Amino acid sequence: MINEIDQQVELFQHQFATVKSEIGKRIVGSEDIIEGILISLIADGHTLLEGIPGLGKTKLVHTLSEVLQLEFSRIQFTPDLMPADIIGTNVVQENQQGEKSFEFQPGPIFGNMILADEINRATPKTQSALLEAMQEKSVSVGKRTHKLGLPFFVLATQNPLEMEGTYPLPEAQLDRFFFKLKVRYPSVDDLHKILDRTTQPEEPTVDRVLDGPQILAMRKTSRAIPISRPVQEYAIQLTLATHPGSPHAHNDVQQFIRYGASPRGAQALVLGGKIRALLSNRVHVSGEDIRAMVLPALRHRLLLNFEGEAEQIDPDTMLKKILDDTPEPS
Amino acid sequence: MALENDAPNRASVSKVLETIERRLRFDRLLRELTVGFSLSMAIPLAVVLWHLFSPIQTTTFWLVILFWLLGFCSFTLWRLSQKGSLTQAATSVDLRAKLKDELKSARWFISESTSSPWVEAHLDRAAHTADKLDIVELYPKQTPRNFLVAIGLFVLLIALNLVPTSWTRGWLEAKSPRSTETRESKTETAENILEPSDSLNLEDDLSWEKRVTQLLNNMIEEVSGTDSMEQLEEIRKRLNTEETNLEAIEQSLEAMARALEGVTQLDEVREALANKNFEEAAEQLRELAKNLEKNTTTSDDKKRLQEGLERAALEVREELEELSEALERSAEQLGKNNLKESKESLDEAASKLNEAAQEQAEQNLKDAAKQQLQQLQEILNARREHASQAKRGGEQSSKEQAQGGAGQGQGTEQTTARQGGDHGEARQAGDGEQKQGNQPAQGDQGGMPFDGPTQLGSPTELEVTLRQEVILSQQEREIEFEREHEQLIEQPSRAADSEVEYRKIEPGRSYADPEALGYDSIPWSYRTLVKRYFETMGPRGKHD
Repeated sequence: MINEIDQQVELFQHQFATVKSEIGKRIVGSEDIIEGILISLIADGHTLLEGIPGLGKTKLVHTLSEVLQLEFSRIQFTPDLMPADIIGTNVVQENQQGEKSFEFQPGPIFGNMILADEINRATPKTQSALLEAMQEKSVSVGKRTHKLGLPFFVLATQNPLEMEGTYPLPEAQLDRFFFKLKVRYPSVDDLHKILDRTTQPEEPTVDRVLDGPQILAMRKTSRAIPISRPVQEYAIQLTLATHPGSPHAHNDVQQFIRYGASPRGAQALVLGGKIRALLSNRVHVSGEDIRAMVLPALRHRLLLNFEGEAEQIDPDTMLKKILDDTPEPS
Repeated sequence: MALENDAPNRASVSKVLETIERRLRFDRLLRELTVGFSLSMAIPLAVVLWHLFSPIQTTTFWLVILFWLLGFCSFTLWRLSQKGSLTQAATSVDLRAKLKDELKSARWFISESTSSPWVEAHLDRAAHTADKLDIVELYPKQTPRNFLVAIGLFVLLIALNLVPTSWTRGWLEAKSPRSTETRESKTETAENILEPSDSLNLEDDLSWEKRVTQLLNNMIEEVSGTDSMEQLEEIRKRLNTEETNLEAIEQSLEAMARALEGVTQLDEVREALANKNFEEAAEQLRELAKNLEKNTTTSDDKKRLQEGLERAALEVREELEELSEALERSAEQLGKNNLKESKESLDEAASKLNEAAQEQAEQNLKDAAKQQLQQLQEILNARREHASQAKRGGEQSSKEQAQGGAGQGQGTEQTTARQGGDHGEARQAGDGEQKQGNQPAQGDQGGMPFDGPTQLGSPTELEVTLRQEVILSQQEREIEFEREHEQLIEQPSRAADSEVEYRKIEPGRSYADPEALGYDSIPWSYRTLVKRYFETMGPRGKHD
């Protein structure tokens, strides 16, 4: 039995590394972003990518869709985009006998990997069309509920600079993203590599190395990792430390935060920690795994109050303070 | 089944953790005991240093040391009873060996009896990791830094006992405090001085009186009021018990003088005895003896002298039995015309009269001493009453000050420097016992220092009168002030209307400063205002 488990761990690491290396053929740098997206995918979550234009967010998602043998859909969010444009609608169909009936025409949400490009440009009503799909993996149109295919993975991008004509994502929408990853500007070396690869006559090709069932198997493997109570306690304390009313709350949280992370945040810490443990060839979750997940899993779950907005408090800074001041339970 | 399979792994992990826990406990105990010992060494060191400069009693010294030892032993036992947990050991070894919570998680799975294939796999890995741990390398034996400090402090404690200076003394030879020695020696000196048979004589009577007075003053200064009262009472009793029967002696000698009437040769002696001047009488008796030896006296005179001496011998009472025998013997030898022996007997009688004179002087001195003792007791009583009055007055004064908020209510330290009486020099009185600095102030009489044998009376009526005058003058000033206030303000105010015009005064600030609109960020001074605005205008609960 132990050998089987070791094999599973080895297979998991191998598959993960393969996907990562395939993506790395086309995407330069951003290894933490790639790893975060893959962890989110394996953990049955969704990812919000935030970064200025031109950093390769969309290309990364495209590459990922090519590497993974999944049905890929892209939705370009615009202000005039309607919910029906995403989830689909009932249209009148006429059969050969001339009888007319409503038939559901699936929208682009019916896929395995959805790229919601510039999600904050759509109205909140349209953004909300994703709520049920992201959480329940189903879409309700009229009186019928349509199940989505698994794995279902939403990758949304948004631009933090251009705020004109945008609609910030509502808290409920944000909370449904497993990770929020910040795409940073590449280094000089990475820029050299990017220019070398993108200015050649032919773009590097990638292979499909992972399909849906394999992803589901990896998901099952990651969830089997045991976590001890002290480590889980640590994840809970970190989550509660973001709540202003909690006795574990940090002083700055009391001053600048209106609402803290929801239980989904704690789930993201533990699930991400399990996958990270497997990637580190461990079959137990450590406090270090939890700490590594805090920033991507909780940064979008902190809602600043007026003071925080006025002071332009960065949630990452706040979370780093929480990490520094919250001791790991023994 | 999983439990059975991974049982060796669980045992292996637990065994390693127990070893680490014992090692951690030993290190912790060594560290805590060293620190505890170092800190607690402050007590014996302080006591020893104190003893070096101000000796303390042996009992006190060893009691402090005993309590220190008991405290340290209790601390040791308490720390020994505190055992660490295996989880703490696992956490510690995870940190030291950078195992990323491997053993801590394993310990939790073991303690919770959690079982699954994945837990089994984890325990298997943890057991392998635990077996590979080099505990000696992870937890090397280290002497705590405080250990050297503790040793140093202990050596210092021993060394302080061996410092070879004249002003130090070994703490192993703690003796009675110096103040007690002084007090005992002075009491002993007082007893010696007050011992009439050993130290008193007529020639030194005046100096003896001075010494007694000085001694009593010193005692008053050195010892507490209760002690001095007890000692004075003891001295007074002693003087009463040793009182000589001077009255009987004087009566006897007066009878002797009457018996000598009509004897011409003994007229001077009779007059001296009648005047109770026994020294003079003895001198006259010796003069008579000299004249008798010269044999210039007629036979009739001798016969009258013999009769006079015989009558005198009969009149002298048993209190002066030796004097009576000497007179009788002189009369008898005179009747035998044995002038030399008669003269010797008269000299002996003169000596006895001298003794009577000495007793008379002693009794006079004792009376004077008793009188002075009584005065001193009265002074001490007065002083005690003053002290209690001062204390009561101080309390009352502090209460009044607390109520009224006026005054400082601080007691003034009163050191009793006084003129040294017969010595005529200023002298700082006593040690701390004589100081009354903690007594609260009591107005004019607060904390009045005791000034030696000077008699203190109750506050004079003059002082009371002066206080009343002060109060009356203050009342008069208040009345005068009110009258002036009435004349200056109230009367003109009633006479005419106010001529001051009312003007509109613009406030110094405006709520909407145009400059604030030019700022990119909200200025600090306007943030509260802006926040309140948004709280008021924004969606309900949005900015709460």
